[in-house]
Parts: sequence; C-alpha cells; structure tokens
Amino acid sequence: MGGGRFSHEAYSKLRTSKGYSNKSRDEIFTASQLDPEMDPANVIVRESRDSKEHPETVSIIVGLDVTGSMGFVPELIVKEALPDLIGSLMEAGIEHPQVLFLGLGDFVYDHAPLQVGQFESSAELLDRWLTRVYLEGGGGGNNQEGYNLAHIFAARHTSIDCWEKRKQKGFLFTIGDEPVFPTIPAAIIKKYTAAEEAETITTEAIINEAQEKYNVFHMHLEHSEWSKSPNRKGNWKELLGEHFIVMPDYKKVAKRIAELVIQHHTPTTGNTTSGISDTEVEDML
Amino acid sequence: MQQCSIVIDLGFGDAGKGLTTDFLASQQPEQSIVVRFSGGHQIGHTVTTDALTHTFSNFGSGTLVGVPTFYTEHTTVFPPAILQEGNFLKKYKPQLYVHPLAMITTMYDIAYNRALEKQQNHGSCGLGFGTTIARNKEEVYFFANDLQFNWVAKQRLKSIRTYYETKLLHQPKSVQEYYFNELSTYDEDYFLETCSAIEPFYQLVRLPEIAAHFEHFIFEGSQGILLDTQHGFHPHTTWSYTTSKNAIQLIKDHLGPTATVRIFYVTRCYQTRHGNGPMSETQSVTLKNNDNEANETNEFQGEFRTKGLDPELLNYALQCDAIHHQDLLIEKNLMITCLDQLPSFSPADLIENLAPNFSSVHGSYGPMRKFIKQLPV
Repeated sequence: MGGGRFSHEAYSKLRTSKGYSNKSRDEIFTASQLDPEMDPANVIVRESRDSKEHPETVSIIVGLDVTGSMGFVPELIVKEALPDLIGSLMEAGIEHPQVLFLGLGDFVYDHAPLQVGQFESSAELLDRWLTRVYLEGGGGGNNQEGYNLAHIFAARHTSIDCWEKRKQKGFLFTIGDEPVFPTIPAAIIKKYTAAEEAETITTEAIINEAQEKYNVFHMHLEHSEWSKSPNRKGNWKELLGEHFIVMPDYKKVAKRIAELVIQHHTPTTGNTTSGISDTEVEDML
Repeated sequence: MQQCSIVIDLGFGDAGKGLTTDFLASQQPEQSIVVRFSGGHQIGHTVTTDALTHTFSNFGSGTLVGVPTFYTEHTTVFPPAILQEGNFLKKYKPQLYVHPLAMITTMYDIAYNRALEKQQNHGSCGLGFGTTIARNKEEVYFFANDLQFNWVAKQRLKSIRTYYETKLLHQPKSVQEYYFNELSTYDEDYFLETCSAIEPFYQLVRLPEIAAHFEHFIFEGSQGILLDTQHGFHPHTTWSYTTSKNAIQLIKDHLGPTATVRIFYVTRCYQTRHGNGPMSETQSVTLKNNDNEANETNEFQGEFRTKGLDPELLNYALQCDAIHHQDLLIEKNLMITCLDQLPSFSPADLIENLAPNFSSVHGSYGPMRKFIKQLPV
C-alpha cells in the first residue's frame, strides 16, 4: 500500500533541483528568442482540465514581468520560489493545483511581451516552461508594463474546469514593479493574441472581464528604492483594491501566492479533505 | 509493566491502521512510542484530527499526539522525504529513532523501480521500496548509520550507481532509457545535503537503548496480511512481512518475557483493494458517508475497489498471523472501521463467524479517533 505523498514530492524535488544555485542567469535562461510554443499568437485557448489523477483542479495563472528592469527577479524566482509553488499549494491543502506561467513585458518596446506556458500540475513541468522563457534585455523607460496582456489572455483564451464545472474561480496573479498601461490597443490585441478582430479595451474593462472567472491579484515587488515609490505603484490600488499586494520581500512570492489561494478558494462541500496520494495499495517493487 | 500493541491489517491494506495507531497513541502519549517494523517510506496512513488530515509516510501515525517513532532494521527510509514531511509537520515536533541498519533508499533505487515498473505495470508505488530491499538482499548496502559521514555516503551512492548500471546491461533498451532519463536532471549533491539536513529529526539507536523510556510500544504494521510476501497471492504481494512476525521477534529479543502483548486486527466492514489483484467473491456494497475516502484511483496504483466482507478470508488472515506468534500469550482484539459507511453491516454476525475469541472489539464511525466505540463482544 502506500502512495507516500511526501516521498513522491521529495523525489520530484530531487529530480528538478538542477543545481540552479551554481548557475548564472544566462545558463538558466538559454532562450535567445521567443519559443514558438509559447507564442500567444498561435494559442487559441489553453485548457485546465480535471482528470482521474487530478479530479478537482484549481487553475492558477502566474504572470511574471520578465523585462530588463526585473531580469534578476525571474532568475531568483525560478531558482528559489516557483519550483516550490506547487508543493506549497499542496501543503496548504490545495490538492490539485494547475499552474500556467506567463512571461510579461512591455508591448511598446519588447519583442515578446506575452509568452505563455501550459497549465501544469507538477513542479517539474512548470519549471520546464519557466526556463524556456526568453528574457528581454531591454524594456522601456516608460514606467508602464503590459501586465494587462495577462488579463486579456486569461479572460479570452483560457478554458478552466474549476469555473466551468464547479463555479470555483481560478486565480490570476501578475507580478511586477511598475504601473500597467491604461489600455490595450486593438493593434496590440491582434498582434499578440490569436484574435483576428479586436477593439481597443481599457485596463479596467479587461480586468473586469477576467474577474468573471478568476480572482485577480497584482503583486508589486519592492526590490529597490524606486520600486517602493508611489509613482511606481501606479493606480493598481484603485483597480484591484485589497487584491493589490505589496511584497517587501520578493523571495516570499510563492508562499504568498499559496496563502492567497487558500484564503480565497471556496472548496466544494464535503470533499477532498485528505492528502493526494494517501492511497494504500500493494507495493510489489 | 511494559505493554505492546501490534496493529495489523487483515486485508489488502487500507483498513485504518493510521486511525488505530493514533487511537492507541492518544491513550498515554507521554509513555508511548510507535514502532515501524515493516514497509518503509512508501506507506500512506491517514490520521484525521479537528485541525488536520494528514497521510503519514515517513513518520508514525502517533506523531500528531506527540508520540515518537522508531524505525527498525526491517524498514527503509528516504532522507529527502523525511526532510519534506518533517518540515511540514514541524509544529508537532516529529521525532524519529532509527536503527543504524535501517535501509536507505536512493535515487538510483527509485529510478530502477520506475524503469522496470513502466514495463511490468504491477502497480508499484514507484518509490523504490522493493528495489531497496532487493539490493540489500544482494548485499549492496547503504544504512542509516552511514548518513552522518559525507564521504561514506558518497561512496555508498557510487557503489549503488555501479550496481544498477551493471544490472541494466541485462535489461532491454527501453528500461535503460527510462532509467537514465529519470536520472538526467538528478543532483546528487542535493541528495547528500538532505542526508545531513534531516539531522534534527532523527537519532540513531537500537530498541534496547530506548526501551526503558517507554511503557507502551505500538507496533504500526504496514499494508495487509493478504499482501504478505508469504501469505498473499503472487504476483500481487509486497516485499515485506505484513503479519506480526517481525514485531513478535523484536518483542522477544528486546522487550523481554514480561511484556504483555495484544494485537489489534484491523478491517473495514467491507473489502477494499487497489489495482488488478484478486478479491473474494462477495456481494457488492453501496457505501454512504464516504466522501472523505482517502483512496482514489491514480496512475501508479490502479483503481480502488470495494466489495462485501468475507469472514472466511479474515479467518485465513488470522490463522496466517497466528503461525508467527511463537509461544507468547497474546491477547487478540478486533477493530472494525468505516461502520458509518455501511449501516446494514452487523458486527455481531461477523464476530460469530470469526474463529478467535477477541478480548475486545472496537468499531469506528468516522475518520477521527473520537468516532471509535467499544462494541459488545
């Protein structure tokens, strides 16, 4: 019998601890251009589905600013925080998280302002998408980023069972250190999503649209003096209220995401009170 | 006087050993210790309290009431898993005593297990328990005793790696590929780090050295008698003895003739099993209140099945266990779990059909120890 959830987790961790701590950013993020599989223009819809193994998925989108100003943050998050995200969620009682990772950038200056992974249920696979991201070298000095591309992608290009089957909202986190553009111009929507027709939409409206099926959060990382200034926090507070989260310690980002999910997730009644792999079965080998 | 309680599953596993162990541990937690005498880090024993539902795999099921756990030389441990579960349970201050000759499972054992399992689909957990036992039988060792010596641990890993690479030469290409693929991103340094990082959670001792500190020894069995290497049904058996055999031997060797011994035989009020192995032909059951079922179908272990209980099969299991009791005077008790899920079940009818005279019979009517009641014998 058995299952040994912690043994499984430890094993996965052992396999994916690639010795990042000894590697440089360039060695981790080897991509020199947008990975075609992560190109949102090719993606009609990303699905997060229940399965026998994961009967009650909770869909979580994590959109991380990967532009130059924050290059070291994705590095640190990839090295330390996000590989533990799924583990943290499961420890906290969300048994079947599915996490989709987005790389976000500046749609005025960047080549690849939106890069999309897949919904994954294992730290190992999530890690694979994370390290395929193309880190933009530049980024503009315009004090704004295209975080709203995450909202439009979530609202219009994802299909998630937790919402469609159980009316449990998924979660959308954007992580960055700048204000968001006030709109997404029609041309940008056409260029960076699979939509053929588009109209310019305000950030407020696209957030509302995303909120129909997601709990929407923004995490502002205070990693330097200027990232602490009100100017860099923009109007996030007006847009999201309590869902605008200021993070004085960006290393805690995965734990904080897990906490927020636990706090806001509404479980279905009388189900899933136990660990994932507490199945007992003969163990022949 | 020292008391020994042995918790044994009469079926194919899943009966409620975690619940029973927690129940026994809660009676005098300060004087108790849980002893793991079979199986290893691949177990999954669920304990539910008001605060937490936890499935134990590296710590004993008495941990939530503060009872430490002793791992005997018959068991396996996997250091990275101890680290993870230990950290997870930190606020309960989980504590292990480990026999110096407890067997260490490595990445190589797991990778080889998985590579073979992908060909055979026997329903293994894929955690390298069986391959660890097999390797030790072939005298390629890595003991708990070696953990604190980094250089020694490194050499152990090296010889285990060589051992599997030699074995792989006789395996089909698909197995070889799977094995190396499992290891492609493996970081040996991290494994070694966890070997030292678990230091706060364990102490190396032999049973006689700590025996005097405790009054109640709760032997937490693993799996079930019907999966036993001798008494189960090939190929659906485990690599360990799931009867009270090892526990009895340990008691005789280390706890002396004065200890009283009682066995708690655990069964659900219906049959359960995973995967493809045989089940006795009985009527199907319709369960209620089982929303909290900890068992579910998964990739490795196959479907979770239920059927009516078969008293004859229970008698078989009880008789198999009795073979190993030697000359000890043993009190036998019965624990029937999940009674709330099958209201039509009559414990009295069952007891009448079972051969032994039980000193006590308990029934559980929910997942927590507070739902356990004593039933008329």
